Amino acid sequence: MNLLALILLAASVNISDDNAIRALVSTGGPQAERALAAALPHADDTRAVAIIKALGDLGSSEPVRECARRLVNNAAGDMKDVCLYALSRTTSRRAARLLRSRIAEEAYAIAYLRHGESLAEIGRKNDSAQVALDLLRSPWPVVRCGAIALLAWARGYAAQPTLLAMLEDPDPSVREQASRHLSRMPSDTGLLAAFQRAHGETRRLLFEAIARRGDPRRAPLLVGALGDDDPSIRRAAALALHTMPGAEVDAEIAKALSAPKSQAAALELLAARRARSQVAAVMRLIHEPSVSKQAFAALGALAGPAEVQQLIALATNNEAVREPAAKAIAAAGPRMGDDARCIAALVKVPSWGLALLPAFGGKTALDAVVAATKGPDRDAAVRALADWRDESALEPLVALCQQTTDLKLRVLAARGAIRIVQQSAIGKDEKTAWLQRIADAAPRPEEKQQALATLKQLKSGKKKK
Amino acid sequence: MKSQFTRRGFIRAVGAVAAFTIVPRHVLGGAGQTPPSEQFTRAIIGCGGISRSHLPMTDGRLLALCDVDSERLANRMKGQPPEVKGYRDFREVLARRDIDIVHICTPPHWHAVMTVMAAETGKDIWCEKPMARTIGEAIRARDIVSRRQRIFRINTWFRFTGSLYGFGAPAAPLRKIVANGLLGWPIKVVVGAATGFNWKLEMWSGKTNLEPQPVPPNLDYNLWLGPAPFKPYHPDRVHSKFRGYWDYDAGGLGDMGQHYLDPVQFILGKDDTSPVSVEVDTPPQPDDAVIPWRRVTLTYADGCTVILDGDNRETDAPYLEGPLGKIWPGLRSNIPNLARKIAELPDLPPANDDFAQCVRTRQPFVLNEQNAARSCIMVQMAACAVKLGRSLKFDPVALRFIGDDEANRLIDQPMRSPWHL
Repeated sequence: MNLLALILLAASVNISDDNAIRALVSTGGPQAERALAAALPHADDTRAVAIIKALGDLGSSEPVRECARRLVNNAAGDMKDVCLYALSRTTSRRAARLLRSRIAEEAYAIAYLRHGESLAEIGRKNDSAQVALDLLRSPWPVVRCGAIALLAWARGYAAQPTLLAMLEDPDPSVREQASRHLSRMPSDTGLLAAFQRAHGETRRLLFEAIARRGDPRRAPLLVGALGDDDPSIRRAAALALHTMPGAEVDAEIAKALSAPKSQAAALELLAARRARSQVAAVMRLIHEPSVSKQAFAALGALAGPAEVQQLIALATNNEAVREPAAKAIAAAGPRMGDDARCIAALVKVPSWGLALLPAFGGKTALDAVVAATKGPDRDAAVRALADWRDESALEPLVALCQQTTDLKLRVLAARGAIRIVQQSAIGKDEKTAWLQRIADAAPRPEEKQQALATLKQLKSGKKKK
Repeated sequence: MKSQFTRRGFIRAVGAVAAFTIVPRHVLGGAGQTPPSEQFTRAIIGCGGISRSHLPMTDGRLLALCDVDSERLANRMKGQPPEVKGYRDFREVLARRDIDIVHICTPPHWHAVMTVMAAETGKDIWCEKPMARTIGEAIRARDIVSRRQRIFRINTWFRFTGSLYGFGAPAAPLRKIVANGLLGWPIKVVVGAATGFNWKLEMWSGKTNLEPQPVPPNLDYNLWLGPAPFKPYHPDRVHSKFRGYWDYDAGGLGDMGQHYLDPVQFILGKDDTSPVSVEVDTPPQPDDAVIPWRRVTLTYADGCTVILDGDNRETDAPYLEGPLGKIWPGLRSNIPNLARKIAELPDLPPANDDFAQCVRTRQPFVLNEQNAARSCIMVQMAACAVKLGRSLKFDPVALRFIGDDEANRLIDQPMRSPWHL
């Protein structure tokens, strides 16, 4: 006798054992359904709840009559819950009729919606569409949301007019659900027409539906919306444009640089997209007072060596824009690599240029800063070295720590070196060696203790969790 | 939003304090304060340790705490304002029309049931990880949340904020590196101690010889078990120990899996798919208790692999490895000028990482029911293979194992009556 037969035998004798019921559900099939259904008439209420729930798990039509009887007789609590569950899981038309007849009650409306979803799972599109249409005016927003999802699945593009009408629903989650499903339709022609006519919240929802589709053909519409009065529309347009690939889209966005209302958004977008091809257009806006700050920020992301040299010249000659220009140069620095012309230009303006060189990194910049530590700008140079972003500055910092007579600079060098070791990805042994050297070279007990404490922490392996 | 309820709460709050003539600033609102009528109302279900992290939330007013253990509930209720009510049965919490957001902080065998029930009563949901205990439960929870237009967030965050656990750098630059082809394709990911990820396998191991013990009077054990199969009570099954038993979770995989694998899905750009196979190296697992496994390898259709290194076999493995380069913890790499290259890459699109704002605007949270279900499926694929002790093939569209009925029975596990999805 196989396992199933044994279970069925056990079930037919006494089906109260929860494990036996679970085993039957796991096994599934008509025999399991029949065994469960056969036990139902003889079951007390507790057992009946378990059996009806199990038949519901199997999507069986066996319990429909019994569930209908119990519901008509005002079943409550767990019994009502499992009867509705079983009816929602079956594809029986009788179950549908019963559920539909009581959709004025929330539990029935939910069960009827679930029934429609069960029909959808087996591809019965017309029947599930009917369920959705029955529930679109339900008093409960979650039911209307579910009905929208079901209708969109069952009717596809043909559901568009209904979904457009649902954009006027009083509940925001229902309106959002309609907008989301509209965005998944195969064509946006109807959306565009409706958008032209719409106002207020409906206009926003339609625009978001269009934007979410990410269709590059709609880039002009999206770019135009970057200056819209509605911040939600501006945000949706920017998000869609951010994710839309292609140099054509960059060029389209650059058109918005000429419209005052959309200049700032366009600058941010071009920067985020790293639209290098538009850097000249961005450069032209740095003297435009209303967007100068955004233009400098965008240059931080877009500028190449040529633009960085222009920025250095600008900052040197015009103190009014030195701060935003310096920020842009620092942001662009990591991309400049060993560009000798930029580095040379910055070394020439030690009062602020040396401080930007840690952002550049690389051998040329490091050599320039080390050389400056021996000249008249040594304070600024040591500070720059202490701010260096990788371990290449450790050797000159330790050397400064050992050799310089100026205590203030030795302290700076020691602290900078400890920070670099702490933040570096170099191996534990190498870190240990550096920290020992720094501790030996540090001029004051404070820095020696700091180095030794870091060393101790390293050896104990304590890290942030 | 059910503003009429929050407005009523506001009136009640003002009425209550009017007798004392001093109206607290936070009640009326003002600069830097959100008035109650604009705040969300919240309930926390499950008052274990993790619920502490759910207590604070900007723009949120806590109205209910719920736990099947009266002692835990009483502890969590201490110091709460009078408007916070305590409950034993979460169904009473969900029945309240004046609650907008439900935090699900229970053991994982409850997550999907509560998510579905909360969604169908119109609540938005902030759920602890893992999203569900089985693949089938994750799919069902995802579908119901999405169809009912609820806002859902899973309580992990490494894809959008902070350093990637012990890796020493955030996930965003890794996504940029991978998406822009700096490593080439396919990619191998190693998730283990060498790359900064502790699987906590010993910590979350179960015991195999539990002797039944009397249920303490403070615990409603039947409701604690809920949809899980009935097993006699033992303190090791419940609070702070439950992860070691397959009926409630999946050991270290359950605890850390979604934390660790969700960023992998994100970094590889796999939010709309799942691996096609899972191979395991594990000792045979007991039916009830989870014991440590050695290694799990998940492979995608395009050849990308994710190795879960349970026995710390990998010593200096890179976290990411492709034909063109490798990335070790702290963004160490054999790719020259990596920082410079990252800086040249386009930014990632901004993410909706403010849950309250998502609830307000009905926009999906960055880690929502869709991508959370995918990373949960990955965790549960691994759990199924470990439990069965054999390799499995998976269909990432149908979300079923291929040619393995026993494995598919783990996808849809019947729940104890009367619980269902």
